[in-house]
Amino acid sequence: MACLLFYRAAVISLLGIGAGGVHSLFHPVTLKPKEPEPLPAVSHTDTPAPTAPALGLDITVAQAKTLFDADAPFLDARNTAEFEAGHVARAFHMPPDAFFGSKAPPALDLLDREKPVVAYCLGGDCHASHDVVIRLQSMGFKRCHVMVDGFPGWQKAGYEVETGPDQMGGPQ
Amino acid sequence: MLLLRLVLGGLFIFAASMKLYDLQAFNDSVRAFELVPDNADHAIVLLTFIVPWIELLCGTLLLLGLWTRSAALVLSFLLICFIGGVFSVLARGMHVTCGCFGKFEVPCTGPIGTCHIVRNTVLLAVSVVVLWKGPGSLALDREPR
Repeated sequence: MACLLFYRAAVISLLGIGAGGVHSLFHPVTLKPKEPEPLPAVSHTDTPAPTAPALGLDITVAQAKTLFDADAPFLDARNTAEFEAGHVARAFHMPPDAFFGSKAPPALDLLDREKPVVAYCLGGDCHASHDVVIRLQSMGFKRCHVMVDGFPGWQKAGYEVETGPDQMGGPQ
Repeated sequence: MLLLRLVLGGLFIFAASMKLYDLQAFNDSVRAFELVPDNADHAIVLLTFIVPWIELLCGTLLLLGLWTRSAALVLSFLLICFIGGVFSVLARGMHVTCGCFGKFEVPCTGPIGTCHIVRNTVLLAVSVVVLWKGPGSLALDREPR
C-alpha cells in the first residue's frame, strides 16, 4: 500500500515536471531587465553634440533627481498603502500586479516609450521595481531605470514628495 | 472528507490557473525569494513552470478523487517547501510578495508574513487529513471505507 502511494506520487511529480518542462520551451519568461538604450545626441549646429554619460539600468538617487528635474516620469512599484503614505512627487502608482495578465495600466498611455522612465520601490532587496521594468520593456519602453535606493533613499535626500492616492486612479 | 477534498483541489486548481495565466508574475516571485543562486537561471525557469503544473495535476486528481492520497502527499510536500520558503524570507528580513494566487492574495494581502505561514499550515493540515483519511465518497478511487 505504501509502495503504491509513493509510486503514484512519483508518477504525478514526473508528469508535472514533464508538462512544466515542455511548457517552458514554448513560453519564454524574462529573468532580468535589459540595460536601457542610450539617448540619441542632439545637435543644432554642424558640431557634433557631446554625449552625456549614459545612465545604466540601476541609478542612484542623485542620478534619478537629474531625470526628475528633466520631467521624466517616476513609477512607484510599492503597494497602495505605502504609495499613499508618501511617494516621489508626481509619481504614478504602478505595482507589478497592475500588469497582471500582461495588461497595460492606463497611465502608460501618457508616457513616451522613447524617453527615460524611472521605477522605484523600497530599495534594498525589493524586486518590484525591476519586475515593473521587465514589463515596461516588453511593452516597448526603451529607456527604463531603477532607483536602487528606492523611496527611502529619495526621502532621506530631502527631495520632493507627495502623499495621497494616485491622481490617475492607480492600477486598474 | 468529500468537502475537504473538493475545497483543497479547487483551491490548488485556482492557484495553478493564476500562475499559468501570468507566468512572468510567478517567475518574478520565484526570483524574489532568492532561494536559488542568481546564476542558476535554468533552475528558476523550471521552478516557475513545474510548480503550477504539479498544482494543477494534484488539484484535478483531488477533484476527481483519483489517486487521492498520492496527490495529497505531493501537495503536502509542496506546502512544506512553501512554508520553508516563507520562513527563509522572514528570517532574512526580506520584503517579498507571494505570487501564490496571482493578484488575488486572499486572505493574506501585502508582503510575505505570518499570515502566509498560518494559511499554508492550515492547507498542509487539510492535505494531511486527506492523505490519512482517503478520498471519501464520490471518488474514482476504489478504497475500502
